[in-house]
Amino acid sequence: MPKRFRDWKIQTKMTTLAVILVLLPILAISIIAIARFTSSLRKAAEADLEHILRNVVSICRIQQGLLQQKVTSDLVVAQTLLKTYGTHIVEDPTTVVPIMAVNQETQEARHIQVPLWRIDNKPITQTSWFVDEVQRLVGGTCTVFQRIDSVGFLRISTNVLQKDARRAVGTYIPKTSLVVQSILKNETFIGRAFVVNSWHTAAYAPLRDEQERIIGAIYVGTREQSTDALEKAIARIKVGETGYAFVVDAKGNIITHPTKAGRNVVSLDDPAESEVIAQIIKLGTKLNDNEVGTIRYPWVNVELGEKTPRMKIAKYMSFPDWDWIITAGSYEEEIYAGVGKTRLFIYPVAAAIMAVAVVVAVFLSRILTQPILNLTEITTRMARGDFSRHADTSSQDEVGFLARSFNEMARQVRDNTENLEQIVTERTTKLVESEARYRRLFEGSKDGIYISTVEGRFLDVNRSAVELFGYDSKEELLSIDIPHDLYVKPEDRQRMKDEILKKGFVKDFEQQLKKKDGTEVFVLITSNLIRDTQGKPFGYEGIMRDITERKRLDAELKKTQAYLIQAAKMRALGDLVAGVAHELNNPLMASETILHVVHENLHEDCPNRTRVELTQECNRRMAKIINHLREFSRQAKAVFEPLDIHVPIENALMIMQQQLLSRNITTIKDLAPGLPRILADSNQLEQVFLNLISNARDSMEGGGDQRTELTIQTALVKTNEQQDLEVTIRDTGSGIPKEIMDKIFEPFFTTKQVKEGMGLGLAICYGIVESHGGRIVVDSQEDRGTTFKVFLPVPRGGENVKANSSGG
Amino acid sequence: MSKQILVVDDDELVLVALVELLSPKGYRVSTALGGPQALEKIEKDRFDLLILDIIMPQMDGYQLCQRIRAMERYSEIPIIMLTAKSGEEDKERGLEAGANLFLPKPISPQRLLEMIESTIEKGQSEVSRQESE
Repeated sequence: MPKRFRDWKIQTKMTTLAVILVLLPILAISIIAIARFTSSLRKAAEADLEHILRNVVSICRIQQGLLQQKVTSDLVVAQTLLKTYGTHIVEDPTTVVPIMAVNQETQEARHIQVPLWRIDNKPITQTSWFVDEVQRLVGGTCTVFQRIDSVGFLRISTNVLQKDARRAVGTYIPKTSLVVQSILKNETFIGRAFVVNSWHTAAYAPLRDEQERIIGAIYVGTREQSTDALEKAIARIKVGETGYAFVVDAKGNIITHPTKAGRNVVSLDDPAESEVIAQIIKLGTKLNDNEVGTIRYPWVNVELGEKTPRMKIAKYMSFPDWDWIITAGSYEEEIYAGVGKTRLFIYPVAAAIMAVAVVVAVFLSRILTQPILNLTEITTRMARGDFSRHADTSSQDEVGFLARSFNEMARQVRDNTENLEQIVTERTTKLVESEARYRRLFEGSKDGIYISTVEGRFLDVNRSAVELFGYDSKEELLSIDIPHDLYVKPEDRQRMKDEILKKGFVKDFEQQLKKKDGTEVFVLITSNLIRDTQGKPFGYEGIMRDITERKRLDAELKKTQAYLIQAAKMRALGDLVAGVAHELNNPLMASETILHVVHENLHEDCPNRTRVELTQECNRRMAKIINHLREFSRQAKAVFEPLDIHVPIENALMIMQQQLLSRNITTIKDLAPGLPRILADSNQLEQVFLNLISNARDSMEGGGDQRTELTIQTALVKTNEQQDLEVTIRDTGSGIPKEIMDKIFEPFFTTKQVKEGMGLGLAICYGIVESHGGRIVVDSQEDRGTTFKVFLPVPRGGENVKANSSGG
Repeated sequence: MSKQILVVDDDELVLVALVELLSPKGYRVSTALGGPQALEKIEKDRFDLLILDIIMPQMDGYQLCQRIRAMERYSEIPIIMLTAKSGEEDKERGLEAGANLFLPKPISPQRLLEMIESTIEKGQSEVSRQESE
């Protein structure tokens, strides 16, 4: 059962409450009733005890009164009797009787001598005739006292017995006693007097002589407690079943008791018992008249065979006249026996009532909670989506109202649920479609789409991104460290990050990245900054467009454009030069022609003839210059066509064949077969090779014993992705000095005499080779030889590449 | 009888120079400043040799040559063409047009004289291929 009351089931609560509501009153009433019952029983018992006591005390009092009356009248009898014997007691001073006087209180003894007393000449002292007669008449004891000033009132004749059963003659009442004092006052003392060794109801009257002097006293008395009948009656008192009354005196003697009568309290076996009785005595003696004391104590009456002590409740009164403490007590068991029985009676009844109450409570609470339980069950079903059942709305109480409300709510919930389900289905479908659409977009895009963290890891990438960077799988790409694995220079990413942070995005930001195998890729990145829910930068989402190819094409385009511009420039220049050359031709021709004529007409000795010859020389040089200019312009007007490189080579060789042979130059040809065709101007290349071969020829002019070899080689070389044709022209001539190596391609630089060369040859070669997109390099060692290498690019894609025609 | 030569060029300087060169040698030189004028002149006069420049406005040397050759009178006449330095092409076209001889510009006066001499004196045009120097 749950710990908290609140959490108990209603039924349990109600049952419990009902039970409690029934139980509490019953318990309360029972307890109160029993308490009151107990109380009244106790009161009754106590009252009973008290009554007994008071009765006993009354009886004692009555008894005592009677005794006192008796004693009074007995005294009169005694006095009267004395009077019959003589008028007065005569004291004879001449006759002295030695007596051992004993103080009756202190037992002090002393020898004294007392004058003899006579009445009618009969001696009284130490006789017993008078006192015994009195006793015979009245039944009590009688004493004649003689007043002895030194001691008190001396008993000279008595039938009071001492302990040793002898007459108490010689004992005396000390002067100090009340009795003596009363007598001396000439008063009769009636009351309790301690006579010798016990209390008596006594009467003392003064005895006077003829002179009315108090010479002694006469006593009559009855021992108190002399009535057995009272004692027996007391002993016979029963309180309840086993209760009883007993009397003890102040000295601890047990006067009456069912079992222990006659013993003294100190002599009891059980110290507990003596304790109790001593206690009673102590307290009792302090009581006033009519005051009742109460005490409770355990008591075992061994004599009756009891083993265990039982609690007694006792009341006690004192009867001081006799020094009695009268106690009446009964066993509490008995007093409350009724209570016990009643209790025993009450328990089953209470249990029965409780059982009934429980049953009724259960039943009632079931009736009350059943509708609630039903409602609970129905609502539970509803919570699970089962709207099939309806709450019972028939009753008009709060539960019915609740049921109706629930039904209404259920209906609404059902409707809402249906609506919601519909909406959710629609939305989900839309969402799934949308998701699919976007996933298609994401995956399908040919650009790389990605999401990455600020630190530099991909959170998601599409297929294109994986392919773009040459990784094998999405997982592999997701595992890389972007700044180090993707960026050629990690600081580039930081630049982009800074800009994204500032503007929130970058658009078409160019980056240089690398693939898995290290190959460079150039991308344009368009990316947004993603912030987390607290607004902190979290990552980036963006698109990477591969522009490597475009860049390459751009570069190539630029190159081509530059080339075309250059070519156009060259063409323009070429046209210009051609124009110039052409224009110059005519005046030159005219000049030459006329000079020729003049020269012819001049006599050999004429000084002008030489001058004319000089001028003709000028014309010749001009003609050469014009030729070179023409050559230059022709070069600019190159016509590019697919060409087998060996064609211009063979042509040049053929042209130079004769000259080489005539100089004994050995020609070694090493031409690689199957070389791809290149786009070139055959004439121009022929010119180049002619120039190089003639330079080689010229460098080996010395001839003689030196080896003179001209080697021409062709080969296909590959660097990166570019294929070139390499044409090597090597001679074993005089070589090129180091200091002029870097000048040889300069226009107008020549090592030849003015007449022979103008130094345009190599410059033109350089220009031609450059305009073909190739390069020309030279290596030389003095006196060993010179090697020229011409590299010409092989067009990519073979011969499908269209020729860059520059028109003609 | 002295031979009659017609020189055709669009440059007066050239014409003058050639007159200066050829006249002392005994030739009767006529000049025409371009194609149309040349055609006029050959209509009127009879010539023994023609020297044509190629590059001329209005009508180039080839055209002129063809026109001349089309005239029956001049189908056999020796024609010397003054070519530009870019050799072979001019020659081929020239041959097609009907020229016989070729001399690159700037001409060497000596060579021209020799060529004229050998052609005219022999009376028959000799087709000779001349290699460009």
